[in-house]
Amino acid sequence: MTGTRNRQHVSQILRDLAETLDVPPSKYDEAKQHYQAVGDWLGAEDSELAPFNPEIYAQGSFALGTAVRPLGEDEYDVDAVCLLGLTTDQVTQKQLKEMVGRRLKHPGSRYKDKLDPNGGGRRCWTIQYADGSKFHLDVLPCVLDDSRWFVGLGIPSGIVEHAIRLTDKKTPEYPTGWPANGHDPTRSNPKGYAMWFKDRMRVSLNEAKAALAMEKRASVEEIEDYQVRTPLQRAIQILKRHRDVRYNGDDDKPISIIITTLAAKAYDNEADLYEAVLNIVPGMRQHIEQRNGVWWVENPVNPLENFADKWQECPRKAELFFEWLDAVEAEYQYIITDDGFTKVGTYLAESYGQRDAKTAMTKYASRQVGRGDAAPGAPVILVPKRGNRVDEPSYTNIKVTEPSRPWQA
Amino acid sequence: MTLGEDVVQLVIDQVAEVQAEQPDLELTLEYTGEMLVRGTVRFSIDHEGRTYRDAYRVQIAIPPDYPESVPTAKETAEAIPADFHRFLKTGNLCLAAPVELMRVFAQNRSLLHFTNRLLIPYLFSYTYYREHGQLPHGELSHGLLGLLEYYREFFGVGVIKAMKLLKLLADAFAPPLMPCPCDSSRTLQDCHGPKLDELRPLLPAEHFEADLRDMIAAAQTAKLPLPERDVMPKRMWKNRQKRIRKASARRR
Repeated sequence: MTGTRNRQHVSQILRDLAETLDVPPSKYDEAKQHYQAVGDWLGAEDSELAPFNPEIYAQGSFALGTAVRPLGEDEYDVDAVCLLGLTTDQVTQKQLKEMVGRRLKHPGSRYKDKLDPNGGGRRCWTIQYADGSKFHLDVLPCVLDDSRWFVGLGIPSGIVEHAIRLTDKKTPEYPTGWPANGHDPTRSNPKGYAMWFKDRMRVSLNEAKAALAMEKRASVEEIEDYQVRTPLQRAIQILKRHRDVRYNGDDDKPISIIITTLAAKAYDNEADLYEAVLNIVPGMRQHIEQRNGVWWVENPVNPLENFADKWQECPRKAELFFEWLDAVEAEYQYIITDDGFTKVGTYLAESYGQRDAKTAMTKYASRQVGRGDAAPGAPVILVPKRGNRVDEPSYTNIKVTEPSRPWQA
Repeated sequence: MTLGEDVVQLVIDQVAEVQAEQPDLELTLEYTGEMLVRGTVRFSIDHEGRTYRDAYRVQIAIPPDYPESVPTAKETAEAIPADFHRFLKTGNLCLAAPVELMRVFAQNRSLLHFTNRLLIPYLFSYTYYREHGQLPHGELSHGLLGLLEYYREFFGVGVIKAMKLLKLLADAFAPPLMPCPCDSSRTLQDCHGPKLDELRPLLPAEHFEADLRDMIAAAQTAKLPLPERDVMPKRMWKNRQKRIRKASARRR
């Protein structure tokens, strides 16, 4: 059946695409070196932060393995949590933020001229690295959330213990302390979220690590999570880039945390990437709830947090999100038809950008050329026609010099 | 065999280059694993004070070892009859003699060069033929005779001398200081050496040897006297000497 054959090929093409979109391992290493260097500087012996043992770790897409290479002039945006051994009783948000800021601006600091803006952002200090690296690091000062207020909400204690409080200039309590119990913008749990995320893809993560271990003839214990990508991570990378291209520059575009959360909730450890995308997208729609007429995308590690809280004041965000899911679903159903499969290259270029589509199609073609399928199937267009004017096509003028004469065996 | 990513990339870039002149061509990957450039080629050629405009539907196949080998081409709308310079089995267009094909393609291993320098002149020759009953630049005879014509013309010499020169390619042995077999009393390097150098890298010595053996067989059938030692490929000459020695030993 050509549907099955097209499906298998589309899956391969999508893997090639996701590989192309992925952040190269060298950038992961660079990111890690950058934030560890910041950690070392903050925790150095002569630092005023040394007594509080600053611990720094990545959060967001770099921690989840769902980061994509930036489009065009955009930069790699790495978020790092900077956890200090203090409690909310000991420091106000402002004090915490400024302690870290003072150290970064210390006269001996290599970061003192790299902070942008110099006064810090709403929650973080942004370090802007040299132009060539296309790289900036957001350092979020924070302390452990000692209140343990949501233990009773059904979140496992192994996850709760990683909950943190970060600083937010927009809370009224910023200069004086911290917001009182209940959900507020200073509460977060990136490490807990990463644990939940990995748990959602446990089966396929273990499979991917086992496969890599076999390929490298290494023990599976030697394979780190970040060395492999599951179909869930690949699907999220593809969805994020689809979003970036479709809503380039639109403030109401679907946000990554909602895409990631819904996709992880909908993922059923499908082993095949095409299968995963096709099942995840309708599943995402189902995991968007309505609570008393309010759109709700629950943070899986904090049931009181609604990732879609902005949809209330800005209904267009919700409209775009649903419209986008419909579009993705329609496209994915179309590209496995014979007609769609033939044009898959054009479709990828429109939805994911010319450059990455071309790279993915080239990877796919170089594996496929000379190999072929036993059963007939639709061809794939690698370079579409540019198209001539139908009414007045152009005839290229050719000068025949030194003509070769036809010959026949 | 599979092509490297760089070769696929090369083909994609080259098709884009051809499209600047031939926008109705596209590149496809067939289920068979073959890469094809297909669509309509349009050209306009000024010849003897007239402008010939024509369009053909074609299909160019990228060989598995591209750009080492030359692409092959078919005309797909049956506008060109089967008996007009086509390979019988495959239906591929006979654009030129094999060595000539390699020689021209080696000048610039690109699809644009292939299209403009080999394919379009061929298509034009049919356009012209349709109207005038003859080819604008002539054609080579079929088969062996055509090859012989090609070599004679390429070297600018007669039949026997062309075979002597071909022997140097077949034997892969052509010391630059030997007297040129064309009897110019110059050394090879100052005479036909450069022409030999042009052909030598294009095809393996076995190919030239096979052409030469066919020609010798034909000449022998026609009972043409041949300076055997100077035209026969080394292996052929040695075997022949062996046979003669055996025969004379038996007679004694």
